[in-house]
Amino acid sequence: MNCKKIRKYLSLAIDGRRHPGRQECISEHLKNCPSCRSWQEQQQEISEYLSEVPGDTLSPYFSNRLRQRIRSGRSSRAYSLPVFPSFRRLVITSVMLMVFLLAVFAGLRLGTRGPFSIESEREAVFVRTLELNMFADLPSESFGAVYTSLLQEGER
Amino acid sequence: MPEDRSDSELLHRCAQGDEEAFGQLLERHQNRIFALISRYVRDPATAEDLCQDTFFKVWKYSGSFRDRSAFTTWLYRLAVNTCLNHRETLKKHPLTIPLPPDCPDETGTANDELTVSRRAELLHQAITGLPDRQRMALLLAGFAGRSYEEIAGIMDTSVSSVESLLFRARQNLAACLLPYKKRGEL
Repeated sequence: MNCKKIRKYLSLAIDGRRHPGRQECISEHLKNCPSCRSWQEQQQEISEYLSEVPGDTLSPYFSNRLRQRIRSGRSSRAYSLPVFPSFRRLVITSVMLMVFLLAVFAGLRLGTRGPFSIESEREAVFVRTLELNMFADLPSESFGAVYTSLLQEGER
Repeated sequence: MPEDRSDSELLHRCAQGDEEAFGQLLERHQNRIFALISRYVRDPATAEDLCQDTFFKVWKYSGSFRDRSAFTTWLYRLAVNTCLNHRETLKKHPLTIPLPPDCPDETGTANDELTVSRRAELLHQAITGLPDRQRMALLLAGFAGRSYEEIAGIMDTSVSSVESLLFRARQNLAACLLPYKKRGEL
């Protein structure tokens, strides 16, 4: 067996998962491989460190803070409707579908109304222009008078 | 309320809004969960926040617990997911304070006086530099003393994946600590 395989077994052995059938083979390898021996020692040291290292302690206010949080979160839990997840999904899907249909409908309405409204606006401007008598008193050869006469001819 | 009620029984009572039952559960497990989280995040204030998040989830999701798995497995899974999610959030929105380096700082010389605290610091830094899931698996096995089957349940994976995670974690640690070993610091 190569070193990698032996180390896999050693890793398992550190956590108490021994392979009785392989024990002899592993021991034999360790006798002849200082690198694997060193690896095993180091891992055992890490394992000891992990189990012995002193940790931090919880603050005395931890429990009270948590209870406060729970109480403040409780009101929302108490008033929430007992809706099943599948029903909730159905509601969300329906709402999204309705929003989509509304958007499509509004888009169609705007799309058809748009050109008509622009056209009628153009017409109104044209009519307003015809009704203007601002060029009436100008000399007949002026640009304004020529424009008015042209419009009148066009009407006829 | 009698003290000898099982965890699952207390949890069922939590689901009905019994705060006293929740208090008992908290008393039983808070130190163990906090110890695991504090070794994972290495900052007491953050560890306490994450521990609070974990137990808040216990209260919130107490109704969804099914007796298919043991309560401790479920509780550890909540704690582990809270920690891993926290790490993911940190990666997406990093703080201005840099995260610990992948390997211990190598500025020290071989002539430095070797102390127990220095060795502990080196080991701690090497463990902190491990990928999240490897580190969590190592803490669950080495510190929390969970079996491979339990770790597989907690981390939602297979036993062979746990074996692989732990082996890779140990290989990475050995590679990370090799320079110190060569210099005789470990």
